Amino acid sequence: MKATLALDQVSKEFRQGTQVVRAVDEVSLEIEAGEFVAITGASGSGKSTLLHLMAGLETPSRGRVLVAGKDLATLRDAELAALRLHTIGFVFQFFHLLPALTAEENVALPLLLAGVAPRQAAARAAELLAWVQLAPRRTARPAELSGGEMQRVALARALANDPAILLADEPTGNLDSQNGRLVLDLLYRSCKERGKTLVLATHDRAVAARADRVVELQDGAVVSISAAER
Amino acid sequence: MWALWRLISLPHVRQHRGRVVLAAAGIALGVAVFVAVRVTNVSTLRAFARTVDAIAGRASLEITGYGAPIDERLLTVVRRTPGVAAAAPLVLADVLVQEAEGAPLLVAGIDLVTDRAVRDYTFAWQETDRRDPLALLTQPDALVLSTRFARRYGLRLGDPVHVHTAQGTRRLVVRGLLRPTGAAEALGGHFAVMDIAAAQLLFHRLGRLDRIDVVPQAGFPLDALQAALQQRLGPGVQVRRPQARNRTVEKMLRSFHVNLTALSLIALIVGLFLIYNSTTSAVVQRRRELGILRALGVARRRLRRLILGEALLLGAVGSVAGVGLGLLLARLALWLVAPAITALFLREHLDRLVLTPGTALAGVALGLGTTLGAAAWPVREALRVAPLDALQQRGVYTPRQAPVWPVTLVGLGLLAAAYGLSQLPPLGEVALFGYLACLALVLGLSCLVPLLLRALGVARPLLLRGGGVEGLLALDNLRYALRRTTVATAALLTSFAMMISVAIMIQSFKRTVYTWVEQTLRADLLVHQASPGGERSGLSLPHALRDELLRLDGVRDVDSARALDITYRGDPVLLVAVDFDVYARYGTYPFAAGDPQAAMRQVLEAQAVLVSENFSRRYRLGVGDTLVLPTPRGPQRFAIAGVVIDYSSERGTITMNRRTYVAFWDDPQVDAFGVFVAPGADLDEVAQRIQRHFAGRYPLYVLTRGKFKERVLELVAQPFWVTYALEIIAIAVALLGVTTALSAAILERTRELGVLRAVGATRQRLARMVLLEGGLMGVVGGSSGLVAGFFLALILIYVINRQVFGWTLQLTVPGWFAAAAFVLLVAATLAASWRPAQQAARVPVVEAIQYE
Amino acid sequence: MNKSFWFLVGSLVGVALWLAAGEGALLGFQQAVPGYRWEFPRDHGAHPGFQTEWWYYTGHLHAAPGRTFGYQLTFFRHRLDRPGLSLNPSQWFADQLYLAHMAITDEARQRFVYGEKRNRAALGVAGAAEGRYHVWNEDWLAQRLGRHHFLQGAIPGYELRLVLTPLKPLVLHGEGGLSRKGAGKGQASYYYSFTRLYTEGVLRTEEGVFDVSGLSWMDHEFGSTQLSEEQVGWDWFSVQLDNHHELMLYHIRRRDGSLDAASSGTLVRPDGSAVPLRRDDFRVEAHERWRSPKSGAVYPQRWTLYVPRFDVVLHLEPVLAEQELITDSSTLITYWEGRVRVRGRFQGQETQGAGYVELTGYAHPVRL
Repeated sequence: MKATLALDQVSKEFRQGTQVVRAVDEVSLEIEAGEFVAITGASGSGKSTLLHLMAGLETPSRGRVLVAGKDLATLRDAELAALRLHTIGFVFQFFHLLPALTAEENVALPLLLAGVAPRQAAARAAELLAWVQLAPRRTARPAELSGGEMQRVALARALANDPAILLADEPTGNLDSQNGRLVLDLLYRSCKERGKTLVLATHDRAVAARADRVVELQDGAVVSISAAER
Repeated sequence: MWALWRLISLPHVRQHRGRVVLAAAGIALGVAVFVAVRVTNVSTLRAFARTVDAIAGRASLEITGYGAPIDERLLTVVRRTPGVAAAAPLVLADVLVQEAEGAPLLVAGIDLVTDRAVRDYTFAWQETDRRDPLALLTQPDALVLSTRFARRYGLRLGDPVHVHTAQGTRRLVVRGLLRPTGAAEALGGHFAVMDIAAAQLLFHRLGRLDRIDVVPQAGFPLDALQAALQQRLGPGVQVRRPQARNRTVEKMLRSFHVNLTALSLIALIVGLFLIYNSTTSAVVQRRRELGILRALGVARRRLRRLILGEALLLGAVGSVAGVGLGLLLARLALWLVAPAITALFLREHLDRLVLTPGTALAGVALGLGTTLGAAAWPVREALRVAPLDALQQRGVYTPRQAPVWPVTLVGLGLLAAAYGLSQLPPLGEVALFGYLACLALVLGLSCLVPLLLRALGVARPLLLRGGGVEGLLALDNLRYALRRTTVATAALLTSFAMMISVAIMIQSFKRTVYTWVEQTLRADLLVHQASPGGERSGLSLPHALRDELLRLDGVRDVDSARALDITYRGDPVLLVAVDFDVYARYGTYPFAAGDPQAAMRQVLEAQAVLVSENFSRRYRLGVGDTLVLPTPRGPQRFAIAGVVIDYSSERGTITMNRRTYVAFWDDPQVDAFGVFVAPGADLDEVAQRIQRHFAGRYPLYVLTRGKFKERVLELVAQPFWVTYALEIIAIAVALLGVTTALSAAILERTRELGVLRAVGATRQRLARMVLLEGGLMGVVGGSSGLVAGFFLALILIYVINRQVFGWTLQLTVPGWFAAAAFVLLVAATLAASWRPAQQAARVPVVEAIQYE
Repeated sequence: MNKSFWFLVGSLVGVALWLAAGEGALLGFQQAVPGYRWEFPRDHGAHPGFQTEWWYYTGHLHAAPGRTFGYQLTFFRHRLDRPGLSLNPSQWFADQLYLAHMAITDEARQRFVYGEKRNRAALGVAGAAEGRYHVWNEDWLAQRLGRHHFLQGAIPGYELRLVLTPLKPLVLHGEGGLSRKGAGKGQASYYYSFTRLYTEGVLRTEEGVFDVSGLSWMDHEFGSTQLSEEQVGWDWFSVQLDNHHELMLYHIRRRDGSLDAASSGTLVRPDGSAVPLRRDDFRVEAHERWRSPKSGAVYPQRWTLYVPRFDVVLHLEPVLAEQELITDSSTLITYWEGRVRVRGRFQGQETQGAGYVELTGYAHPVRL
């Protein structure tokens, strides 16, 4: 079954001092399985928060977030964790690799968390690293990797448990253009070759251009949804 | 500076109130242990000195015999010596008061008619009328108690009291009360007076005095008077200043605090580690703030001053609190150990703790010094980071894999130094190098902790299989946050090593003494005088009772032992007189040197003695050498016939035949009888028969050999109880260290934890990871602590105790105790990790991953 | 005289009270009763069967450069009552206590210095021989050598060694040496005096050694009685006149301020014969009061003695107001004992002389 990601009138408010800031404002969005959706908007327009809501890392102030038909609000911590482990892969702008672990171990981490036997986990991690073209760097630690390499490791980690959905928050934001392109290619291929639903937040129009749909946010609200201008 | 302080320091303190308090507490505990040891020691000495002064009154010289009473006629000689303004006779006796829960009381038989020339008394009745205490002269049963004693035990004027004395049980009547001034303050009020005539009769001192107190004429040179008196009175008595006894007591007490001193130093290391950790977290938490300040142009120097200032303030608060805490701890120690001190060394009733300015200042200085030393490194490290890196938290996120080899080399160097130091002879009578060896050993092993933690890597596959990914992560956290985990683990190591070493020492002590008692104790029953509570009382018994004992059914033979504190070359040593005629028929001593048979014969027939191994070692005297001992008959020469293994006294023991002893000391008392039971007679029956026979005259405490040996073991272990209190506190400090270290690590790794949660770890798994981390620290600290403890014990036993006491103990490791302690330690570490684990579980994911 | 007797009895009354708790205080002591057969020199010595005994010297000493000193040297013996006492072979076993007071009035320096001693007999530190006159307390001593008395005593700054020679035979007071102290039965003591003793000797002071000579008065009194409840203290006067008469008077003061009927005196004529004086034979007026800064007691001062029966009027003037002894280390009694100058008329003739006055019971009742 292909997972669907749906937001239904979702708002998220933060309290900042005495002011209430609405980071996400009444967003409704349905994303098809296998679809590549880019979320764009200026810095602070609510892209990251929207992604966090999708991953169940934030709970909406109002509205519902449905992942594979389940309302995240009804899930307990353990169920949410399982969801993040099995259904959602997350790629961060700053890679967020565990510094103590090797590249391969970082990739194996979700597998191990999911209870996969260490040997199998290692094999799967090696396979994924090979896919992101990092086979020779298996034993390197994050400190020894370049930004692009780290982001590829992060992507491999996100794919480890073969999730249905990939969420990427400015994955190329910290990379030079060449590395950015490489990472974007890999993400694109994950979506198109591996059938992942890809939601990618970016302020880079060129990146957004490759998406099936582009959702533009301004002050937390959706100002336009358009098919990609190819 | 003030502005910075207000903006940067205060908010931090306010925000991390708990952690700041913990850090201060760590310092406080370290200081407390130090202060407690000093306070206990100083208080004991002061209390003794106070008692000496209170009883001495205006007397500047005292005349005593060498372990025996002196002829009362000497008083006339003293009074006729030019320069003597007044001389007061004194008969002194320890008694136990049945009506006062068996409390000990020092009874001074004084000449009530003239004693005021020397001592001040205020009789409690004097405020209401003018009765003269001379009335007491007419009542031979009159006892005058201090009001403190009377009040404490609810005794009033006219009450009869039964006192247990070395000469049996007597009935006296409370005929007067002394206000708590002057002599009545002696021994914390456990002091009473009676008329000297009655006291001489009661305590079998007719014609003799225990002491003459001399008040010199104003302006008369004391040294000249001392010399003149000594010359006129002859060598059988000693003329000295009362305060000279304080020095003797100081030496006696030394044995007690020698081991404590070593332990307090080690406790301080624990404190040092803890401070290091708290400062580190204080710096790490504010890295960003510091970075901003640096970026805004605040000089590094100012920031250093600010943070060191903070640390010092914390250190000061902790130190001052530590001084107070030390007093509390000392109170606890006294409570635990006072009975042991009282029984073993002093009759002192310790009820006032003395905190000298010196002790307080030293404690605070130590606390501040430790703080500065411990804080300097993290502060330096924090400020070395470039402002921008600090702003971006880069330095934190990228763990620098500091090489472990330098510190390991330092550790190995320290261990080599420890070995070298342990081979050095004592400095004077202080095992200074032994203490330093202890320090070097502990620090050296602590320096190996990083290597150990790093080496835990070999356990990765094992952990992965057993503990899952949390185990792996925990392990890696330990290995890669060495800076933090090392220190906390080293603190655990140190405190645990302390406990293990003492446990080994006690066990070795027990074992050794037990074996010795086993070898030397031949009698079937041991007869002591009983206290009103039915325990062994410490009061002596007349040797004359031996004949009565011998006539009892089932008694085959009786020997006796008398122990006397004497001075040899100015040091307190123990003189033991034994009925060798009897003893030699049943057994012999374990000889370290000398031909046993020849030696026993010599002791029996000639003026010869046996000396203990520690005595022989301390004074470098052996078989064939001659000892000159001060006796009531003047200095006498005794040949050393043999060197024997003897653990009676840590100051050295001289053993002689009772006949020889009586010839010179003329002492009719013994401390214990050993009864050899006729073959076939029932031990318990004979014991009861003995008690019944003397009932009403002498309450006796009769023990079988087996029971006696058990008691000896208890006695041996008793003085060490306080060390357990210290050790437990040190371990508590170290566990606090684990808590802070983990908490701080969690703050540092907030993002990492957030990521873990983002990739699908549950809260429980994070908590479990932290618990495992703590548990691993416990395992590493505990196991290395076991090793350190073992080697520490080696130093304590083979270097410090041997140098200070001259004892050879058989090393005995209490395996079960060590194992149980290890398990408990790991469990305690897990418990200490509980809060950090909860903290990890509560990390807000989004905030954690959103940095930058 | 008599003076000292009550004083000591009173001083130790606490002991007696405590011992006997009430009336049976005199149990076990010999009593002073009429019909005593005096025998000298035996009776100069101690009478240990009586509770209290003393040998009391006062005198006036003159030294070469016009210096005059008054002195008092007193030895007390007190027997402790000991009901139910078990025997104790200890040296220190004490049934007798020995106390002593010494005072010097240094007229030129207007100084009064005193000292006290208290000891038991242990080790021969103090004692009083029986059958002969030898009384001592540490290094203080009174001893009869032939006709002479030898005295020795030392207090800070003054060391006294005197030889005393009676110029008149001893005088028995009261009825054949039985001096009554009150109306109560057994309230009496045995009491005799040497009223005029020529005195020679040395007085060692911080200024040097003075050869001194002058006149002394000696009392010896023993008994086992005490002041009654109503009696609070006494005033005692001894006067040695240049006309070779001596006069002793004493008042026993009662609680209500009146004088006890047992107050009495003795007049000694130049030939040594003694005339007992009764309560009605004399009168004493005090003209001033002096308040002791130390004890707070207010003592009468500057007296006139009237003995109309013999036409005697004498004015007594203390040479120094401050001649008070506070004896906290021995008898626990605070009293005034001082040298006075005397002048007046004796049977129509101007006369002068010296005397000693003792005042007790002013700081607190002598009883307790």
